[in-house]
Amino acid sequence: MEEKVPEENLRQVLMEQGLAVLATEKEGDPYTNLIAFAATEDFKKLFFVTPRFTRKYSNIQLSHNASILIDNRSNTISDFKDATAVNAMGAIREVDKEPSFVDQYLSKQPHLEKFLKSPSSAMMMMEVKKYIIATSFQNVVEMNLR
Amino acid sequence: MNTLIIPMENITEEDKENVGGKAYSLSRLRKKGFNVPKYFSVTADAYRKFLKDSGLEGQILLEISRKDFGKMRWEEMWDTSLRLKNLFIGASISNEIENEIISEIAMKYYQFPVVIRSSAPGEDSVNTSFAGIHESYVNVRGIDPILEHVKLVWASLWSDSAILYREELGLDIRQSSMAVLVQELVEGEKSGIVFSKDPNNESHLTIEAVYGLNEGLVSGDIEPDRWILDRKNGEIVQHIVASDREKSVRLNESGTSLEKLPAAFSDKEPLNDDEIRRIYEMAMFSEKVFDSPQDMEWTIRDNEIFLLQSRPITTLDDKEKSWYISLKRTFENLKALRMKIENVLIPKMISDSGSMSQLDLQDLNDIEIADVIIFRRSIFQKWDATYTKEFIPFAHGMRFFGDVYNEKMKPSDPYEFMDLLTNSDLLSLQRNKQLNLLAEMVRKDNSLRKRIDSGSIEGEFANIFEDFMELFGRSSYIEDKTQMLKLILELSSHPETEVANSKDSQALTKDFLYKFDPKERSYASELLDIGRASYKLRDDDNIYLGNIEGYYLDSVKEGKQRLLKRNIEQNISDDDVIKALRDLNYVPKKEVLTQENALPERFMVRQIQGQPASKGLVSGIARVIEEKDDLFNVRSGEILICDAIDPNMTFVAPLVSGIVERRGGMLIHGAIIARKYGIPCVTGITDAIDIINTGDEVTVDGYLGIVMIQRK
Repeated sequence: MEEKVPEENLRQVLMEQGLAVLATEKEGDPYTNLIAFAATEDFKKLFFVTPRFTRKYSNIQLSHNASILIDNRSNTISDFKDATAVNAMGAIREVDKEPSFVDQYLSKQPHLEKFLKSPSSAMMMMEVKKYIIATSFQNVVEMNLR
Repeated sequence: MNTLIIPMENITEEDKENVGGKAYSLSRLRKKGFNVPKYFSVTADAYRKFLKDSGLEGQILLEISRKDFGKMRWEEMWDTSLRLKNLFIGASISNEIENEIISEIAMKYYQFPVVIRSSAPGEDSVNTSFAGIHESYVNVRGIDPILEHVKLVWASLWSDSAILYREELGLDIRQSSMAVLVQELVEGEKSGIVFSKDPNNESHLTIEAVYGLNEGLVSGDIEPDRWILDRKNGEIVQHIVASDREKSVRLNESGTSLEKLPAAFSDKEPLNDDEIRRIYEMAMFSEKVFDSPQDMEWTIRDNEIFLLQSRPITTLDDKEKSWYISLKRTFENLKALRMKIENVLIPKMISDSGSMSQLDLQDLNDIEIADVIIFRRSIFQKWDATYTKEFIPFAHGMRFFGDVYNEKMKPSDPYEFMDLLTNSDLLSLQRNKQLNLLAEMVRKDNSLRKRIDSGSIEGEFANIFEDFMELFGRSSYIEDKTQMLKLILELSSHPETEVANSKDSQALTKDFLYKFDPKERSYASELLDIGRASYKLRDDDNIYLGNIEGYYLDSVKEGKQRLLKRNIEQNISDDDVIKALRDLNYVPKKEVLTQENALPERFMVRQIQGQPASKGLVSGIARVIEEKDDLFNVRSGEILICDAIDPNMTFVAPLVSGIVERRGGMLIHGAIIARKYGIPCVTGITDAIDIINTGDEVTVDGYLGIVMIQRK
């Protein structure tokens, strides 16, 4: 039962997981929902796509600071030992659907091509300031990207 | 549907994984006509159902998730298994399992004492042998005690030796399970083992035999008579007579005890030729049944041989396993070890230390100093080796007591037993009391503080201080008097830290002793006494060793000072000091120390789990002890962060508000002293001194064993 170094844990979770929980807020009210995300190789950016009329989109317009939870839990008891939960913290803004961003996103979420390319949806990008990586139920390591 | 119990006559090949190797082998031999005492199996399914029904499955997972086993010391492993065992003791067996066991006992075993043995699936094969790793209990009577002991055998799957041994074999403990064999006890007049093929000589078969039950032979407390036979024809090649036949294991009210063997038996070998012949035939037949050499246990009652177990002789290196088994100690070998330590080793250590104090280093020339360094180093190395070989094993006295206490008292706090051990007057606490006396003199007298500050001490304070330094000032951590005076000044600015009174230690002691049957009370009392001696020695032996190391380091320091006059670098090895003292022309090279970073710089550990070692919650500023001098920079109220605290360092304990240590375990000095002073403490924090910096704000949660780090 060897422990992994935090960087390996982070890479594994970011690469293997497709969905994450996005937390935004509006006037002190927190709001969470599931997003389909993709990460850059250097972990510094996270992309996701959202229709523009959604609550998360309007929340982000008001406050860019948000956090994203990505984890590999299996919803069984073994999660207490084996699961890793990664909390990405940073600022989110809408970006142009540049080819490099689009390729990055679709290589992870190919089935969402139509969704991404729809004129009504926005490509969002979080510039991650910090990752907080929790393993074995109570071990927490921070990774600063700035 | 789960099969929770299976009587021996119903065991078939497809039950092998469910009843474990031991129970399955016996069923095969029974069918071939071997004389096997009757038994039934509480299956691995029953074990798994118990874990699920009681919620233990998740609790075990949380315990073993605390830390990677590979990073744990044996003391931490023991802590983990102590907590796990306590969970088993405290959990209830569900009615469904209980009713099946009870009905089998009521039908067939109500009148008999039984033996309760482990029979873990995959336990005994040619490649793995868990003999001696899991627990067995002999002479258990009545339904409730049988159910209790079934739980204890289940719990032994999680003993430190079992966990470590599985790690060594690369087996995942989480996939392991445990079946239990409940067997009628046969009280033989003589018992023993037989190896159908001697591992050291393939043409031989070996029989070992003792009077009474097998337990004394298996634990190593009784030396057996040994017969070497020719495998081909069963002829005796050699009989190795036991050096004495003084003791045997007999049944008592509940369990067994080591008793004196009546004189009539002492002169008589336990087996006659006919019995040796029958054991030989039994072993060879078993080998034929299993088509592999067998290691068997047997007993003889009224001239009838009973086969107790048969397993393949493992191809595994026994030396490896014996270390894991050595983690278990018997009452008898702890008693013998204590006598040796108290009556021989400690007095010799004190005398070695005393003889070194006679010498004034200033009177010696350089070559003589080199000789003194060599001499003192050899003394120190000798005692350092003795420490590992004899003193550390005696720490098992505490755990042995703790095991019995927890089985008997079922406390909610698995470390409650420590409160019964703290009556002992530790040397480190005597030292701290003296220090506090000096600090108290300063607290009351401001002019004395000013005088000490300016470097002049005299009068009563000076006398008491000199006495203190003579008694306790010589250790590897204390280099000169100025440092100690600085510490006294810091202590005097801190309100006096009282040693916490142990929680009703006397009442707990009384409760413990009265839990035993009157006939067994003296055993219980002796056990407590061993626990206390072990607790005290675990601390004191370090002080004595620290003293000897102090003399050795004094001589190295003196050597280095002389070399300084020749402008020789001080960061050199002791061997270079010796060489340079002997040879005027030798100029040693500076030692280059390299240090590995625990984590890349952009990572910062914010929260980490270790072992909860002393209850309480505190936040404060970290003081990391990287070098000896750091100890004397500790400020009142800081959190002490260290790699491995030893009793020679704990003079700072009254100053600090929390302790975090890399080394883990409840029985380590940091934990012992923290409990004494009522300071929150977490041990077993991997790389503690690398991941925490002096000045970080640290929270120590001594309830959950978690440390939180805030860096500004």
